[in-house]
Amino acid sequence: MKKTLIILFVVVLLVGGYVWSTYNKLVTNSEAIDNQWAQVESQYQRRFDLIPNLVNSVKGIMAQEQTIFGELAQARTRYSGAATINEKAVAATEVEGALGRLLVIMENYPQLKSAENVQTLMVQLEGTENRIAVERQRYNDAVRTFNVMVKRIPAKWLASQFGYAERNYFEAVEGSESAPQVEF
Amino acid sequence: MAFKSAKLFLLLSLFLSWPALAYQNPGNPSGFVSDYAGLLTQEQKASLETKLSQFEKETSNEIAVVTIQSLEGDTIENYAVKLFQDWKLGKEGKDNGILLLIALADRQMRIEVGYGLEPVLTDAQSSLIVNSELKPNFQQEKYYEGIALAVDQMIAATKQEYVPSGNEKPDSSFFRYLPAFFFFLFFSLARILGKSKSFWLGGVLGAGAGALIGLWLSSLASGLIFAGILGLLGLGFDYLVSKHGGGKGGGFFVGGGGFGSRGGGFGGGRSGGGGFSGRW
Repeated sequence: MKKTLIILFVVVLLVGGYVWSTYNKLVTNSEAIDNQWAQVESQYQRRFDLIPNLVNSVKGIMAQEQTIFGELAQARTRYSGAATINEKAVAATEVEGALGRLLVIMENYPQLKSAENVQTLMVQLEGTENRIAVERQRYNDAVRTFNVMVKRIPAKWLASQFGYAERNYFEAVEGSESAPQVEF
Repeated sequence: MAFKSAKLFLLLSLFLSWPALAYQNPGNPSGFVSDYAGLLTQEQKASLETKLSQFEKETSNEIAVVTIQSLEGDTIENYAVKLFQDWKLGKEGKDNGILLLIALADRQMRIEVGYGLEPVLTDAQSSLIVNSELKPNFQQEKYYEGIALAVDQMIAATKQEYVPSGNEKPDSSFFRYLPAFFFFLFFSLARILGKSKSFWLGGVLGAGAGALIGLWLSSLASGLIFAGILGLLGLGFDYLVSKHGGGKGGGFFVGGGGFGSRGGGFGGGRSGGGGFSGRW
């Protein structure tokens, strides 16, 4: 009789321990995703702050290109107005698109190539874009770790009990594989 | 120089859709200079190594120079950040590492700066180093000259940032004593189990330990497997020990066999993609 009790006790201990550790892992992984999103956002912010400098440096030489400056300003306003993570991600993509178009247009002004302040800004922008890419990749890694955990058995059933669901990856936006075409 | 950023945007999207990036860890670092492409002579390597390890002693900043034969189709930005992640340049917490990566066949180089040094070695400064020290020298195949100049610039820029606090790597002693600890545990357990004639206790303990491992790995399957194996081992062990009446083996310490530090000796720092790439 005593032996069965010991075995039962051990089993309860093991199951309880498993639930405990799984829940904690869910929490850790979920927090890791949120933390990594904060990193992504801070790099978006860095780019956001660089853009006015770039616009000011090139506005003189590119005086007739008012449309692109207008688009860029609009995209920036939308980004600062975005509240949820999804909205922010979409708005950031729009900023990216407008910025990309501006850069392509800039290629038509060879005199910009020798302007030192423009060169410095381009270096800073490149650095920021690289940082964004790195943080987004790490975000996807964090989401993958979490999703794998949430989809496996038996953690799957525990996760839904505790309210943890699959999260979305950063996907490449449709059409971003081709460089923006500029018509004149 | 055309505006690279437009191309970089393209690359951004490609980063996210490539299924398997071509980075492979080139191996464990052989000090601060790892010359896989064979660009430097022994003396040149030694002189750089001395300079960099002296700098590390003075400031705790870890600058590494790595030359590779080819990027194998990967981008230098991705390769650099992955290599930085694997080798963990810079001290943990301070993230004060810098990687100078040179890919010979692709004729590309990159300075990757750790989080902690980004304020002092800005992207703009890195671009200056790449364009005025590395590029012209590399175009004339004067690799050592270019690298040495670049290293001097990086040292000058980051000299003031950190002072070593004298308590680096506190956890290596823990790992060093771990094997001794396990030996001690093993022999004490042998004594205890040997005391009783019956051998089911060993089985229970083994199964329990196996289940805990399964818990830790949070996988039911491995938990069951480990419980089964360790349970059987425990049974067998206890049986053997009970037969011989225990009491042997005492508790002698086995001298801890020093555990090597991770990654060849860099401090555990991180980078976030800051720096500058160039081609020659």
